[in-house]
Amino acid sequence: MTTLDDDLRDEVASTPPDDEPDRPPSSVRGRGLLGLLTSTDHKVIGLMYIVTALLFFLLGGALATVVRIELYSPGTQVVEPGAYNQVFTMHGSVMIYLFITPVAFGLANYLVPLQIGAKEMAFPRLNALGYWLFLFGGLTMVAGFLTADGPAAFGWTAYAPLSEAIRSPAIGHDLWLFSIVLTGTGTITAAVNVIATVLAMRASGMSMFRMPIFSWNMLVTSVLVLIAFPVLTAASVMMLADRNLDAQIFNAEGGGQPILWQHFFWFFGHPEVYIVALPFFGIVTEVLAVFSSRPVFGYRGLVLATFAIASLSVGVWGHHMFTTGDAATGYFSGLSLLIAVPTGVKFFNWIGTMWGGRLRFPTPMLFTIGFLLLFVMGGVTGVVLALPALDFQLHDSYFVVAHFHYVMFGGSAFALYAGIYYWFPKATGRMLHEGWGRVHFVMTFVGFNTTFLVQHVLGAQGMPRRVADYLPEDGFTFLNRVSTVGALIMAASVFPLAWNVWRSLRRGEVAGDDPWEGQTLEWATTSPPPPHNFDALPPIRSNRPVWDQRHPTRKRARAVEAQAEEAAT
Amino acid sequence: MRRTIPARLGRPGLVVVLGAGLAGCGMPDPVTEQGESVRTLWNPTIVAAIAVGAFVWALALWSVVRYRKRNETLPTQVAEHIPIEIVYTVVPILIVAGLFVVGAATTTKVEEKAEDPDVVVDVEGFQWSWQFTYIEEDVLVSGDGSGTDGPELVLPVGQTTRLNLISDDVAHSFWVPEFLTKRDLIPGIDNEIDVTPTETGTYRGRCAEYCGLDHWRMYFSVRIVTAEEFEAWVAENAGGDPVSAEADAPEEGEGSG
Repeated sequence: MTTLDDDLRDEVASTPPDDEPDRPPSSVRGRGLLGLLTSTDHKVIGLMYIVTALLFFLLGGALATVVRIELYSPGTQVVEPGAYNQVFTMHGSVMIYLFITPVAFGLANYLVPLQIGAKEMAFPRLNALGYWLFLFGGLTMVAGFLTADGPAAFGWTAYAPLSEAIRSPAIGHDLWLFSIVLTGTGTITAAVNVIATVLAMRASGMSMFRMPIFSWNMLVTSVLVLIAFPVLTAASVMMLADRNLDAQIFNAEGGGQPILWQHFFWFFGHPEVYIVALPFFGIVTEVLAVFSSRPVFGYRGLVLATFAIASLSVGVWGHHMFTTGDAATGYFSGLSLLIAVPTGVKFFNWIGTMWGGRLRFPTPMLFTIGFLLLFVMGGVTGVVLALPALDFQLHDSYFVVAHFHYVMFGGSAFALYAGIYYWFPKATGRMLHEGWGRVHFVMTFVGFNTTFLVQHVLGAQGMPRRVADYLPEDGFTFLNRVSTVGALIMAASVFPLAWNVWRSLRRGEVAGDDPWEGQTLEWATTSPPPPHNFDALPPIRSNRPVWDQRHPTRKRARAVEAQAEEAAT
Repeated sequence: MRRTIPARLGRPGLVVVLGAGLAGCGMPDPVTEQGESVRTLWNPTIVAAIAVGAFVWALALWSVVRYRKRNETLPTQVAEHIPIEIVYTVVPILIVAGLFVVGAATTTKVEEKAEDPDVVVDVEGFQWSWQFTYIEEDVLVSGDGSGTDGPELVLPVGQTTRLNLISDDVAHSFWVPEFLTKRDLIPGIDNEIDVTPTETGTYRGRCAEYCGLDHWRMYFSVRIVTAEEFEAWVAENAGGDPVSAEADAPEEGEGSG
């Protein structure tokens, strides 16, 4: 592997690809199934990751709908408690392990080489291996549905000693643990690949501090993956040993220590929260800059904040364990509060990017504004939960469920939707339909808030999470009904998106190379990009080479203007 | 027309966040001294949280309305502003430092243990009910996992009770929402909390840590009584057969799942 291809270096100097004529569509097309199965093209693998993860997202969403329908009223609606426990376990597991983590790496696979001006990922075959580990690992987990006793039912956190064979004997639990080992290994290979690609494959002129924020965030995310996922993978192997080889690692009766699982799990689990947040922060940053016609405000501060979040995130796992009595409340409370600071800094970077800009509001921008409004709510409730005295009441209640859905869905999933609308034209050559995009946004925004806002109240009042049922005299019925109605709206919101993708792939408006007036390198090539990514690269002299190319004469004037403004304030 | 859509979405959204904040004040009224400390922390914290959220909403929505594209003029390309960046880093640090101090003070108060508690109860959780053992009083209350009432924990008002939280099977969590606190029962970990009830009454307690099939109905009840009533209850039940509240209570049909 060379750090930079010589021919690429030559291309850097050659003429920029101004109005290229329409290119033949995707490198995927015309290669058939065998082409897909054997591909090592980062774009093909990236799209396979994304499509597979989105299919798992549909499964996880269907399971969530079952959960909400069951909780519509006291008593059994659709599933008995045993099946309910399997459903919520698989909902959480599918969403975390098979959707939101892999989809981030799908985006990284597709975008990082394009954003840094590379022809490929550093290790194309390792990349393919990572995808296939993810796919078959995921299928292993959901194969639990095909077994006689059904899939795992110990929650997505698989707490010991409930997860020991004596308490959870079904084979679905072993499949779940094997799945974690397989998908975890896949994620680790993907992370290694992203790190190597970012460090070694950048085009000439693409210094680290000229990289787009999405690529920066994927680098930091990948480092976090290397810290967190081996711990989860190893812990899962230990649990498999406990279950099948009588190892007694997490079994108190055999001299083991059940709480150890919680430490291992959350040592993975809290960095994981940022593993599934940072990539999406990256998307939001890119979208805001482009649709504000501005550079990213406080770029260096933003990168530093990302490092700060990553560093702190490996020291906050104990805030998931305040009620266990086995986590130092002062230490973990302090660090958990502190991590709110760099996250807050990012908010100000984002608002600073919009402030004084020229804002357009196509669908990617709508979802990004939605992200800003919803993620901040998940942020402030996170600060509330970082205070141990309050966490004692709120832990394991629906307040926590509401909190992390505002983070994971209001935050990450909204940003993912923004990214899908934003990069769909790049990947397919066609625009998604704006009208259907707006319908999708409104339904998602309304449905999401209807589902989760009331859950804060349910939790504070005393409704525990992971309960198959509640009693009429609890007084939880009305708010649960509101929440279920919201969930049905959310479930329905998938249809405008699916229809939009279906129709736009066939007869969507042809996008051209750069439909959004993009700033970063992926907009300098054709849509979809050729197998080798770039026919020619524009000169890279800042963190937004495509913008510079579009505004060559104003560049100096802008710099002067910026300095004047800075002097004035 | 198109440009105003986000702005229009924003206004009901603002109402939503304020509504959430107000409704979020919905912790039950505390019935213990420890719970009152929690409540004292909860109210200002939730107000601060709403204030911060509203501030960010206001900034974001203001930008959306004020800086929407009106013409083709290119905006100024300001990429950084160090003084502002320092301010928006330092101010949040001060806010969380303040929260940390009040939060830690309350946590210490809530976790405080009496040197000589008036009553000591071993609280044992198991799949899927509870057993309460009053050590000095020699009273045993045990649930059998049937029905949805669960065994009854009787506590004297105005006295401090030490609860030793024990589990031998899987992890559970002792939660009475009106106490505004919970604590886990984990094999291999000995937890204890003190509660000092301030009001008589009966409250529902529940298991808050997912513990398997019938986790959802691992209920118990807490009856807070006067000191005299407590003594009478102890006298009636000391040394005898285990008290099982559930044996007397009518079972509910759906409870057999």
